[in-house]
Order: sequence, then C-alpha cells, then structure tokens
Amino acid sequence: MANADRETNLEDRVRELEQRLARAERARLAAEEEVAELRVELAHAGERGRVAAAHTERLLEGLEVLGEARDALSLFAEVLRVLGDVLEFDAAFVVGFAPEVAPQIVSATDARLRLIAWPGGAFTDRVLAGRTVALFDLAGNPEWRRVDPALREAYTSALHVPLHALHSQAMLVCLHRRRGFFTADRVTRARRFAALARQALQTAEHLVDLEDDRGRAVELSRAKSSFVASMSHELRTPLNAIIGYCEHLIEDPVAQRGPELGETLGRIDLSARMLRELIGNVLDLGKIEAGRLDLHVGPVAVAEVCRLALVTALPLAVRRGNVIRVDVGTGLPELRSDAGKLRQILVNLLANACSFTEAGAIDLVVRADRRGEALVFQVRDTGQGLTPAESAAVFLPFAQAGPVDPRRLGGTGLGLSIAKHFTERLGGTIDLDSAVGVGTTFTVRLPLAGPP
Amino acid sequence: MEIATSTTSTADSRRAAGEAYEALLARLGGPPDLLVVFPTVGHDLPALVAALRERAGDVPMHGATTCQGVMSEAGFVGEAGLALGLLGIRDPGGDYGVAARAIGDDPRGAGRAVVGAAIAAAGRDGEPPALVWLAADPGFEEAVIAGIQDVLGPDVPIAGGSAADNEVAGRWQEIANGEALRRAVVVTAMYPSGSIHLAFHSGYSPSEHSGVATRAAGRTLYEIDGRPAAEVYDAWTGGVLGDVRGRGGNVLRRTTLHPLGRVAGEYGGLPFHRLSHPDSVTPEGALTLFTEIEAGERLIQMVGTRESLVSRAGRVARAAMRAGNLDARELAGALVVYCAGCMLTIQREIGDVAVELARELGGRPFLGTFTFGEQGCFVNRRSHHGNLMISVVVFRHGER
Repeated sequence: MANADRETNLEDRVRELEQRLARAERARLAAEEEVAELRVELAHAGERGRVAAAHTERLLEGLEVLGEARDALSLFAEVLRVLGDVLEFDAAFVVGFAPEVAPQIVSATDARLRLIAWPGGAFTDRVLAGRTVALFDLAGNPEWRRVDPALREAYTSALHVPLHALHSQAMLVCLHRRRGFFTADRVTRARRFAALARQALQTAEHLVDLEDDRGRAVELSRAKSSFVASMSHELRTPLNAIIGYCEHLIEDPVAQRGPELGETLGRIDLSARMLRELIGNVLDLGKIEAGRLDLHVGPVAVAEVCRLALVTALPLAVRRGNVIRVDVGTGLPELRSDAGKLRQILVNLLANACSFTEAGAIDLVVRADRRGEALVFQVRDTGQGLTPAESAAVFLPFAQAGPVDPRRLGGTGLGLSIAKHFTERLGGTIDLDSAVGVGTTFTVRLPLAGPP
Repeated sequence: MEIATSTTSTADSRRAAGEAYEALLARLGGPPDLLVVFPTVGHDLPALVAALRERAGDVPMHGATTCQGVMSEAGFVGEAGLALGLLGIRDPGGDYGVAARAIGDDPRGAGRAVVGAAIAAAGRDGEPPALVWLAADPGFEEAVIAGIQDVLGPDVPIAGGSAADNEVAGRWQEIANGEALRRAVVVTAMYPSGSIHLAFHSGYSPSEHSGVATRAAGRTLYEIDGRPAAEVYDAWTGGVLGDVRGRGGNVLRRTTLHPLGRVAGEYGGLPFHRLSHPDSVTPEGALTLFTEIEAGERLIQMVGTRESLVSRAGRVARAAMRAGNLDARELAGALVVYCAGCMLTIQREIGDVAVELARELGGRPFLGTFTFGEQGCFVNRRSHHGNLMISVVVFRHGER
C-alpha cells in the first residue's frame, strides 16, 4: 500500500513537473518571440534614429546657409541641395513665376531640367495657392504631359511644393524614377522644410528691400546735399545779379538816366523771373511731397497755355541759342484739366530741352490721340540725348543727366520730376524717347475728361 | 480628425445598423467622412447595409464580414457568433474614397482598377494616398496587392484584412458604398488630415526546422525538400496533423500555433517573417495554405503559443504607436486586423486581447476585425499579405 502511494505521488510529481516544463517552454517561446520582434524594432528604431539625426544635421546646416542667403537664386540652390539629402529625390528644380512672363526654371539639380518649358495651369495654380501635391505617375497629369517627353521620361513620380515669399512665387518640383515614391511622410517632410525655406526667402527679400531702401535713402540724401549746394548757388546767382545791377543804378546817376537803363532793368527783370521760377519749383515739389497739391480743373485753352509756356521758356532758349517752334493742331477736342499745371509741365519740359540743347531746335507739338480720348503734347529737342540709364533716372527728383554744371544749364533737377507728378495727378502719362547725339522727345498724354 | 466606434450584438440587422449608427453619431459629434463596417455573416447584409445607407447617406462606406465577432475599446462582441462593429472617421480636412470591383478572373486587374476608382472617388486624381485600406475575398490577395502596386508603386502602405465567415464555409462578403458584394475587392484611398502609422507583425518564432518548397502551385504546397509536404510538416511539428494526414481534411485549428514562415525582410541581419497558415491536407499529402507559395522559397516552421496570441495584439499596437512617436493623447483611433485563426485558438481569452489593445491605445477608440488573411506594411516599408498576422493602423489627430 505504501509502495502504491509512493508510486502515485511520484506520478503526480512527474505530471506536475511536466506541466511546469510545458509552461516554461511556452514562456520561453513567448519571450523568444517578443525578443525577436523587439530586436527588429530596435534595429529599425536605431536606423530611424540615425536617419533622423542625419536629416536634422543636414537641415540645420542648410538652415544656416539659408539664413545667410541674400537672394532667391542662391537660396533655391541651397533648398535643392538640402532636400536632395532629406527627401532622397533623383532630381529637382524650382520654377519661378512672374506676372506676364512665362514660368522660368530658376534652379535645377540637372542642367537638362533647365530646358523644361513649364506650361502652368490649374494644377500649378493649386500648388501656388499653398498645397503640396505628390503625383504617383507624372505622365498622368495634364500639365506634365505638355512638358517635352525627352526631358520628363526618365522620371515617374513627382512632388510639387509651393515656395512663395513677399515678392516671388515659385514651385519646388522633386522627381524620382520610382512610381509613387513621394509618400505621405515624404510630403510632410517636404512641407515642413518648405515652410522654413519660405521664411528664409522672405527674410532674404526683406534684407534686399532694406538694402534697396538704404541705397535709395543714401542716394536721395546725396542728391539733396548736391541740390542744396547747387540751389544756394542758383539762388545766389540771380540775387547777386539783381543786387549788383540795383547798386549800380543807385550809385551811378548816369546809369539812372543813360540809354543803358532799359537794358539794366531788363537784366534785373530776367534774374528776378529766374529766381521766381526756381522758388516756384521748390514750392511745387514741397507740395507734392506733402500731398497738398490742389487742382483747378476746367476747360483749357490749349493754344493760350502753349503760348504762355513759350513766353516763359523763351529767355532760356535765347540764352542757349535755341529756336522754339509751337505747332498746335487745328480742331482739337476740348480738354478738361488744370491749365496752370499744364503750363508748368510744358515750361519744365521746354526748360529741360533748352538746358540740354545748344544752338538747336525745340518743337512743341499738340495733337489729339487717335482714339479721341486724350491730347498729346510732345516736346522734341535736337540736344545731346540720354543714355538708357540716364533715361531711367530722369524723373527722379534731384537727378540730372551726366556730370552737369547747373550754372551752365540753369536747372535744379526738379523740373522733370515735377512734370511727371503733375501729369500723373492730371490722370495722364509721360514718356520719353531719347538717343544720344540725336535728341530727346517727351510725350505727355492728358485725358480729355480730366483727372479721375 | 475624430474617430469613434460602436458595436452591437443585436440580431435584427436593420435594428443593429440603426442602433450602432446612432451610437456612433453621438460619439463622433456629427456625420462621419468614412464609415468602416464589420458585420458577421449571420446578419442579413443587404438589409443591414441598406439601413446604414438610409442613415449615413452618401458617406463612403467600406466593409467586410468578420469571423465570429468584433472587438473595440469596449471589449469583444459576438459570443453567439453575431455582431456588428462600426468605426467612423470625422475628418473634414481629409479626403476618403471607397471603390469596389469584382475579382473575376483577373484579380491583379481588379486591384489596378479598384485603386484608381477609389482615388478618383476621393477627388485626388494622381495623388498617392497615405494608406490604401483593403478588404477582399480570401484567395486572391497577393494578386490584388500586385495590381494596386502596379498603379501606386511599392512605397504606399497597404493594410487591411480579408473577408471571413464563422466556419470557413465561403459565406464571406464585402461592403462598399451601400452595397453588399461577393467575390469582390474593396479599397479605401485615405488622405487624412492627420498622419497614419502602421505595424504588421507575425509574432511567431522560427523553430530549427526549415526546408525548400520543391513543388508548389498557387496556394497548394505539394512537396518540401522533395517529399510530400504534409509528411514533412507533420514530422516538424511532432504530429499535429494526426490522422487527418492520411485521409485529408481541414487542419486550420491544429496548425494555428505551427505556421510556415518566409523571411519577409531583415533589419541589421535580424529577419522578420510573414506567415502561411496550412488550412487543409489533401489525400495525396499536399498542404493547402491561405497564401500563395512558389517553388524554390525557403520555408521555416514557426512556433507560437496561446499566451503570445493573447499578448501580441497589444504589442503590435504599441509598435504602431512607436512608429509615429505617438502618445495616447495624440491618437485619434485605430483599426486592428487580427487573424481569425488565432482568435479561434484563444476564443475564450479574446476579451483579454481587447483589454490589452485598449490599454496600449490609451483607451482611445479602435475597431478590430477577425480575418482570413491579413495585409500590412512591415518595418521595411513593404506591404504584404500574410496569415496569422496582426495589422494595426493608428490615426494621429494632426500631422507629424
């Protein structure tokens, strides 16, 4: 009996141990399975960590360069370089957009991509409106189908990222040979980096704007200093002449009654008129800059205005040996405008023509435009003419063409600027056409109906 | 992005649809932009789908039948083999398109056509989805995936689960946009406003037994190392086929813990496997599987345990969260695909699986289906079809 009990106990013990062994085996298998999974996950996490660290480092390097970029082109080149590492694209380019100009490839990883004539369209508009869009097969897209197949056929998938800033609109296009390469996570990465690139682009544009503003301010300040110097001379010259002639008349009784009295008074009168003209221009500019220019609009007697302008400009023309011819067309339509401002415009243009012409001819011609909507005033001279750079600066205040001698020309550099402001206030336009050695023509168009 | 789920064991299909949808709406705070539907085959599917359509209108609807029940953050539903689970995604900033095609004689062509139609339905022509969510009849998944990849390439993640019934009786069905279908493939092209992260695990360990498939065709494995496949497999597993080996028959439940594995990829020399589940033995000694197999492929006998089948789903969910560096506060919700074979093996403990998932997902909404084939994306970013797998997709509120 005791033996039987012992055997039963031993059998129970064996069963119990077998069950424990089975549980241990299952636990071992479960642990082994989890360990295998975790090892793979760990290796993957390690790989992801390494990739993320490399991307981060690359992005930080890129951001440093982006932060220092001062123009869009160098910035775009850096965007392509950084994203090449982060997005692993095969090629990429940046399309720039500007009003009324065909889209241009402004940066590319491959010179051949610069040959792409990007067609634009609804898809591009969607991207420029702010959407980052991936295409798993670019050949299925209507805009890509209009790109030369020889330039696109090496690639299958594409990613399009908006890169707009303050003044520029651009689209980054990444390409890959593999279909569907630009998955959601790559799109997210591109979108994040593009946000930084856009910020850098805006900063660069801000800096350029500031540089431009500073340059303009420096230039303006220099021109104003030069203007003040020339102005004080200009004011002093007629003033000295007036004072000198007056002293001469006061001190010399003969001169008070002699035959040269009329000539002396005439010289005093001319100097006084020059002085008034000069002060008038300065005051006009002051009003323009302060935005306090009043207009007196009504029907304009065009021929009379032209005659008065001629009378005013004639002394300067005579002094430079020039002839002024006035040709006012017959049957002109009625012009509603400010006669005083128009006269000033014409005087300034004629004075400018006289200043740059010596022993030549100056024509003032007035015609109706072909569409019957405006009157066209042209002032043509046979003077020294302007280079393109001079033409571009001619309407800026205090600017004068070339190394001028204001004493010789008698100008302040304000006349054309004032003429432009007046013309635009009257709702018109002013243009010039000039050739060095041939002469210059200024054309003023004023709407018949008057300023808006 | 908001996600909510609702489940019910109500037997009347129209009532079940009404109850579940109203509960979903209340939790979601408004109508969904995508409705995922997992009913068991005991439901009158046309009636159920019509009832959902009446309430949800034109909302894109994607579904497939599930084996025995569904699980959610509220637990497992389907003790009597009858259940309905709904998951709604409310995401006005995202786009979702559902399409279906008959598999017919050209499953690869159906894959190509259905993904194109789903993308078009989402209004995102030409754009790769963040995820292709798939449901198909069992038997053609590899070809369907190949078709989808013909269109999208290999990088776009594909996940989902094959339709299932309660007894491998071929009663499974698919659902797309208010229609109950048979022998169809359903695809949702997802473009969510938040990010999506995935995990796809086998969770089994390789044993010391392996060999080469020397004769195979489609889903039938005739020989391993030149010998009848059933004979070799039975020897490897210590005789799990038992008397079925001689006469042939269903072995699905016997083989759940002993699938055949193939290396799907590796990281740093560490392999990960996709599994093939032997479901029957032929009288001639061949094994039929729930995946295709090709001659020349190396097969490894894998080993699993009941314990790991219970704990594994939670670990896969954790892996998906880790893939996106998410914590539960960032999580909108999740879709879980759990192999029906595994579920049948641990049926009494399936509630524990749901609890484990809920714990790992921080109590956020999830809906789990039990499938006859699982699709997912491995850590090497390649999408595959496999058996005895768990596929988890987690949705983040915003973009990461």
